[in-house]
Amino acid sequence: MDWDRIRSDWQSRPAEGIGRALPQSTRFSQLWRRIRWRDWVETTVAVVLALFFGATAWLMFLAAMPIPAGFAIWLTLVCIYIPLKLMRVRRLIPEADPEQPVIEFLRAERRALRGQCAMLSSVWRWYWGPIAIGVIGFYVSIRGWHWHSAAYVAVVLLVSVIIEYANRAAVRKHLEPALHELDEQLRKMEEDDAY
Amino acid sequence: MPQVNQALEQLIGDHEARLVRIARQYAGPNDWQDLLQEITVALWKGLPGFEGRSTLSTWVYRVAVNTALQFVRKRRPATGELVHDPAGSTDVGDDLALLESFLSRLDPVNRAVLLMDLEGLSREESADVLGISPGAVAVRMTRLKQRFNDEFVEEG
Repeated sequence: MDWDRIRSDWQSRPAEGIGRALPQSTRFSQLWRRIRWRDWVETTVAVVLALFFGATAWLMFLAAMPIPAGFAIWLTLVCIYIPLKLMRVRRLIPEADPEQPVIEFLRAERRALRGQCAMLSSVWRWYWGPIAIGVIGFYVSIRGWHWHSAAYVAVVLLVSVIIEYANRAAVRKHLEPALHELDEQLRKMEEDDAY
Repeated sequence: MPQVNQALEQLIGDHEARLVRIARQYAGPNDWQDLLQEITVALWKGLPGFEGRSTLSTWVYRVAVNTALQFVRKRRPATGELVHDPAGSTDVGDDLALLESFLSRLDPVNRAVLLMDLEGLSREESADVLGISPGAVAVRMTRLKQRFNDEFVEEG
C-alpha cells in the first residue's frame, strides 16, 4: 500500500459544509455575555437572599424571637459563603488549556476531573447541608413542632437526598468513566514515551 | 477584539480543510459542525495569547486535537470509539474509505497520531502537538500502519 498516495488523497479531500459550521464573530460576544450573565445571576441571587435573611434576622430580633433570628443569621452567612466558596472552587479546579501539548492537556483534564469529583462528593457539607439546617431551623422555630413542620422537614430532607443521589450518580456515570479513560490514555502515552 | 476576529478569520481560512477533516473524524455526521464551532471558539480564546513558541500550524493542530478529545469525552465518556460511519465514506471500495473505517475504530489519541501523519505533519511537529518524543510518535505510527495493513490490506 502506497502511504504517500493515501496521504496525498487525504489532503486533497474537499472541506464541504464549512460555511454552515463556522460561527460568526457575533457568536463570540454572545459566549462572553453568557459567561458574564451566569456570574451576575449567581451573585445577584446570593446578595438578594443575604439581604432578605439579614432583614428577617433584624425583624426577628425586634420581635424578641432570638431563635428564628439566629437561624436567619445562619442563612445570611450561608448566602454569603456559598458564592464565595463556588468562586474559590472554580479557581482551584484547573481548567485544561487546549494550547498545551496533548499529554499535558490530558493530565490537566484529569486533575480537573478529580477536582470536580471531590467537589460533587462534598457538596452536601458546604451547600445543601447548611441550607437544609438553616431553613428547617428557621421554619420549625417559627411554626413550632406540628405535623406540617414534620412534613416540611421531610420534604427538605427528601430534596437534599435526591440532590445528593444525583451528584453521586453524576460522579459514577460520567466522571469516573472519563477519569478511567484518561488514565488509560495517559498510561499508553507515557509508556510509548519511554522510546 | 475586531483585530482578533480578523486574525481568526484569516487563520481559519488557511486551515479550514484540515479543521473540517479533524471535526469529521471525532464527531458524528450530526455533531461535527458543533465540534468545529468548539474548536473555533478555542482558537479565538487562545489566539491573543499565542506567543509563537511553536509554528502556527502546530498550535492550531494542538488546540483542535485537545478540543476534539474533550468533545469526545463529554459526549461519550465511556468509550473512545466512534460508532458511526464517518461522513464522506460512501465509496466503500477505495483506500480512503478503508482508512476512515480504520480511523473510526481507533482510540482518540491514536486517531490523532494517524490524522497528523495524514495531514503531513512531520514526526517532530506531531511530537510537539502531543508532548511526547518523536521516537514515540514513530513507534506509534509504525504500529498503526502495521495494524492497518493487517486488518485491510492482507484481508483484501
